[in-house]
Amino acid sequence: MAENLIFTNSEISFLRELVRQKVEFMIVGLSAAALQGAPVVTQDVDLWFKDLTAAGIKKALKKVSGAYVAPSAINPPMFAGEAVKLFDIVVHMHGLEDFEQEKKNTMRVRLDDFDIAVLSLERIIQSKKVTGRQKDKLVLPVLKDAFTAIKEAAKKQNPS
Amino acid sequence: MQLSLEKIKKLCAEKGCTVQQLLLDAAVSKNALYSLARKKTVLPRSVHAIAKNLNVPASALLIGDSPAEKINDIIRRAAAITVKHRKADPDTIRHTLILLQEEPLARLRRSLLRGRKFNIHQQ
Repeated sequence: MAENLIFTNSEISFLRELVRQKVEFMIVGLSAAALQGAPVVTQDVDLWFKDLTAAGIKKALKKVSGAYVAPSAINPPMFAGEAVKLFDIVVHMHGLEDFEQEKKNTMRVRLDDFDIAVLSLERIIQSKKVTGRQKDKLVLPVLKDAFTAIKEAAKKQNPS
Repeated sequence: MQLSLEKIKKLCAEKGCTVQQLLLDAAVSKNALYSLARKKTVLPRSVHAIAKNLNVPASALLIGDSPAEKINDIIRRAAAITVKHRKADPDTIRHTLILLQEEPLARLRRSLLRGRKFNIHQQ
């Protein structure tokens, strides 16, 4: 029951609107890993946009009474507002190619009544390997084992 | 024990394919699918007859549907994967297999809920 109190209709509405507005984006980071089945914990949902100036982002934000906070010398770009507080904006993925290239490494994941692009677990692992931050080093073994389990489960479903 | 076209469509959407593609890959004709979907039950009549005489629902005669059977199956599969991948952590393998039984949105909610709880405890 409590699990339904987080990432509710507001957040889903924002993502649905981004998709409806044809904004090019993908979910990355640990939330992307979690969507694929990795048993990891995260505090935010990282969104990587092809173009942060896309008009559709503003329209989607308006729909959920959110706002875009432009980057400054001390702050990265951010979203502000209750419906978008769980989302973080990603402007660069360490160790990966650019957005257009990495788009090829995404999978479509069903959320409610629409599909979103989610970066593959393999590429998330690659990125975490490169960043070298302590918290990334700690989660790497979990991501790798989850990747193994997901691959084996897929083999069982499609033996050919 | 009726075949649900809705469930098939939903699963296809999750996998990013159409029902038409699915049928092509599974080598099942459209007629066969819709014929099965029209049936009140996909189980043979004899199964229902046996269940009726035992005074139990037909599902009670089948394996693989109860929560205990599902978790036992996951434990068996996790053990098999751990044997094959000796360095893998059995807990992570088992948790991943359990999470794979859930919808992606439910997995994300679990992850966020625990992540944010953890953060509260740290503060």
